[in-house]
Amino acid sequence: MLSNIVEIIDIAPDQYERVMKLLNPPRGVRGAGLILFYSGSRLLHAVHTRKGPGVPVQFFGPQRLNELAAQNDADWVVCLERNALKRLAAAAQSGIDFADPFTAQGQTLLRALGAELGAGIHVWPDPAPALNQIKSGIPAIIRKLSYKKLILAAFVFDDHGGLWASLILEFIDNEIVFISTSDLLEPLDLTGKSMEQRVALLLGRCAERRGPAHLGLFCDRHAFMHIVRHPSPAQALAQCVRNGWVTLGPCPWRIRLAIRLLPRILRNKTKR
Amino acid sequence: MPLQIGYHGIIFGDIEKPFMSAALHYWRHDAGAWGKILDRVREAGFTMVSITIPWSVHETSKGVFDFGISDNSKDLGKFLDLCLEKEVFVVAVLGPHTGAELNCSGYPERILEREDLLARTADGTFALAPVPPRFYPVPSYASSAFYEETAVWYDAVCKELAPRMHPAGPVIGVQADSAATMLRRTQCFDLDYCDAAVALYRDFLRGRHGDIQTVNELYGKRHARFADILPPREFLPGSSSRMPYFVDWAEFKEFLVYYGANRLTGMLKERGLGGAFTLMTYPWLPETPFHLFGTEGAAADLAGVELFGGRQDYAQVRNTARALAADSRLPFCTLGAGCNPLGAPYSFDDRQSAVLAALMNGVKAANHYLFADCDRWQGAPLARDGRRRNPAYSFYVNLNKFLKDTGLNKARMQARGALLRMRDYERFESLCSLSSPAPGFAPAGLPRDWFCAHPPMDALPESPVRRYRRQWRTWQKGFSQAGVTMEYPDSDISAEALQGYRLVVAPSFAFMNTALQKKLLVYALKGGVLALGPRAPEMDEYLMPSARFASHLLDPVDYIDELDYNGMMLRRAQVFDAPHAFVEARGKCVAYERPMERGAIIFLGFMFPDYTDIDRTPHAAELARRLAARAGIEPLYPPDDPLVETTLHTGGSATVLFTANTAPDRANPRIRLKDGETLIDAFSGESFPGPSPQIPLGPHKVRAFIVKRNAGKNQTIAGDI
Repeated sequence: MLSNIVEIIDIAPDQYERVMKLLNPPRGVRGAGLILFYSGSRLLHAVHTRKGPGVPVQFFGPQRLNELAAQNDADWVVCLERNALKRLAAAAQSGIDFADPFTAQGQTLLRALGAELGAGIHVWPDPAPALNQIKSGIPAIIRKLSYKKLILAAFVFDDHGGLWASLILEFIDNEIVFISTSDLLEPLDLTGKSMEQRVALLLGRCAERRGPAHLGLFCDRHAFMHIVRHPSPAQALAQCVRNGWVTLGPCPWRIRLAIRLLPRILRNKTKR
Repeated sequence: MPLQIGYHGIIFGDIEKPFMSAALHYWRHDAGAWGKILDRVREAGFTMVSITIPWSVHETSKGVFDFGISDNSKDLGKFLDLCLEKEVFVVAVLGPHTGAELNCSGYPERILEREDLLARTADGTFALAPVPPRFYPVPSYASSAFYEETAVWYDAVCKELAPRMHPAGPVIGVQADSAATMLRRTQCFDLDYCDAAVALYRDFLRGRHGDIQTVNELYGKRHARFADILPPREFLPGSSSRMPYFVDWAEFKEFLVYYGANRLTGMLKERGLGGAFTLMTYPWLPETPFHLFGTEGAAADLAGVELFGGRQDYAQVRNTARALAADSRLPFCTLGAGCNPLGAPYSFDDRQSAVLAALMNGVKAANHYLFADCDRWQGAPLARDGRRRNPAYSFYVNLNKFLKDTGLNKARMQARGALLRMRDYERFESLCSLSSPAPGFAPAGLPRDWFCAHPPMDALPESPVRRYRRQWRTWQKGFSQAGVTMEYPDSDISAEALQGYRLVVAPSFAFMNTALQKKLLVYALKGGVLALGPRAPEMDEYLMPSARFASHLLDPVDYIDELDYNGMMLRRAQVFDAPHAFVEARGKCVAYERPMERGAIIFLGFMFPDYTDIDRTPHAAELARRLAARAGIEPLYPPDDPLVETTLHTGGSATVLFTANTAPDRANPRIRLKDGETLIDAFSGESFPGPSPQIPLGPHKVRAFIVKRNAGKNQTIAGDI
């Protein structure tokens, strides 16, 4: 997804901070966790994230982790065989090709992790569904929306018509090769301009500085908040486009179709 | 004669100039923008820049380099000449590892395709550095082939630099690697097992022990020659007789780090850069396998640390800065002036707090990285084209004015006590990591030592693993909450430097290297107050008998698993029949004082409960306060909130008091001032008159104040900031 030659320039710092604040998960350990190291059926060491190391745990093997969680007031349990991390590292390191792009390297790492899950690394709740989504779901979406070259320009306006956040991305062969923000388009004066004028100005400047955008998205920060806080942001985006909260600029037909069909597809999936 | 490094800066003849630089990537800017960017750097108050000169950027094919022939932005000579014209000194970072958010961190890809110069893990695989946007194999700093390749780069770049060295040119310092060491693959049994590294390990053993007979006696083996010794791949101590074998390996890992630094700086000096000072940086705290004394002693004039952190990382910034303040010739670190969009996101507020936190805790010199936005960097004080970005830019203008007006680099943080970082126990802990090879495996916020354990060892019924860090953390919190500023020196500190402290706290367990035992004993004999415990050392680091304190300490008469001391549960307490009790819990003496010739040893024979977060520890604070009082140390400007820290810096042109809120909640501490004193916020100019002003502090917020006497007079320093 991220090209080795990715260029990241002109990131507007205030916009970056706003978005990061919004997306950044809280630091530190989430919930109470139990981390166990074992060999055979012998427990070597136990750490409870709230109670500390060396907690007494009745261990009968890496099965029934949900029971262990219940007995030890833990929201999650990770159980590691003594050499599992070494095996995982060895498998990843011997499998990753230095010449591969980052996405392929990441997939190799995930495969190595997948091989250890349930063998030397046991986790409760089961992370397999989420991992599968990362391994197959995201690349599948990218493949479906595959373009030889695509420039995406997305702009979020504040309550006064100024820019609250922005993103300019260029994909080549499904890989991001360029990341920027409205700082690339400076100097910009958006005051007193209508939405149409703003869209025209931003797209024109984008074409001038990087190339014509193939996909343009424009919305205010309330719509943006709605989308990023929605459990299914893609569905929320589609809904916002349909009800006019998000203005589409240029848009390739496959993406336009996907946005139209997405709510229906997701609705059907939920029903099933 | 190369430029010298002093505790307050770089020594140019009779003048010691502060070392405060702005970092730039000249090759990521249009050459036409250089002049404007350098002007802005000067206007912000900097007279030095640190520039990264990456091998991979300048090498077009093996041995062929572009220094501006086909690409103006790579015209290093022109950039340096412009620096001279603008009167900006330059510290040149040459690599081979430059980081700089580059693919492969600045190593040219072609060298990483050569298997003979790559590091190997204990499993025999190549080690990958997981650095987006591409994982790449870690080179071996033991490999001759690696240095041969590096020599080709150094030959080329030094030709550009040599004629531009100070005083004829602007280059005053050269830095080889930037935070490279093993590319953070620092676990004890992870790297490096390539043939060259194993050969170096054997050379190290030969240098340490002399001959194979001595090694055999120590290891209980019958090797015919050094070549027969295989490096350990995991910690399986069995009996204590195996310990020397493992301890030597842990020490070799440190040697390997400064061996690489030494070779690289040596190569630079051979190529005409001998007039510059040499610099190396490490990632985060200089604990094993990083060894600041080893590097500054043998490899470089100055060793610093990269301190990229946010407000929430205050504790780590403090611990690192106070370690540097105690250990380094010139406490230097690299601080974030922006952040990598592919890395951890840090806000301007984060970066501002980290800068002040570093200065507050003793850092005297800094490189602000990066000062201008460019590819893969954002949030810097300058945009890519040299436009000022506020409030970041004005922060640095004010910061430099504050540093200049207060002479903070000439001031010294008032710390009369030392809490030693015990290298023996750090090494032992590094052997016992369960999370190898993952570096820093511990989930965020959890101490790494929680993930260390080892099988039972006959000679070591009470292992220092986890217990050492627990004692250290509790003492750290205790002194902090008692309002007593301590420095955190490495236990390898010289005897002379140790004598400069009135109080030394050395968490001790059953083993401690003999040289350190002697040093601590001499310290107490010469007049220092030495706090030892929870156990008296009776063995050296190899677990061989060595008890220098034996005749000075008492044998316990009883042992209690848990003992309540005013509400704090002391663990594994030894009970003594001592004439000078220091701590009595439920009528039992668990700590005592032993007067020495001119000083004293205070032995505290118990272990603390674990404090890891921001817990208030009133009992540990009370013990710390008593220890400090025994050594004649009074808290300076103590706040009434134990979660707020203050440090006082004197000796500059103004007295500076820093305050830090260590907690994630707002605080409004009252700080007790001396008669007639007023605090003036060094940045806002806000005035807080005595005797006990209330200082509002946001979560994890650090503030700097000028301490003014006769508050009615004109506030010249703060008023302009």
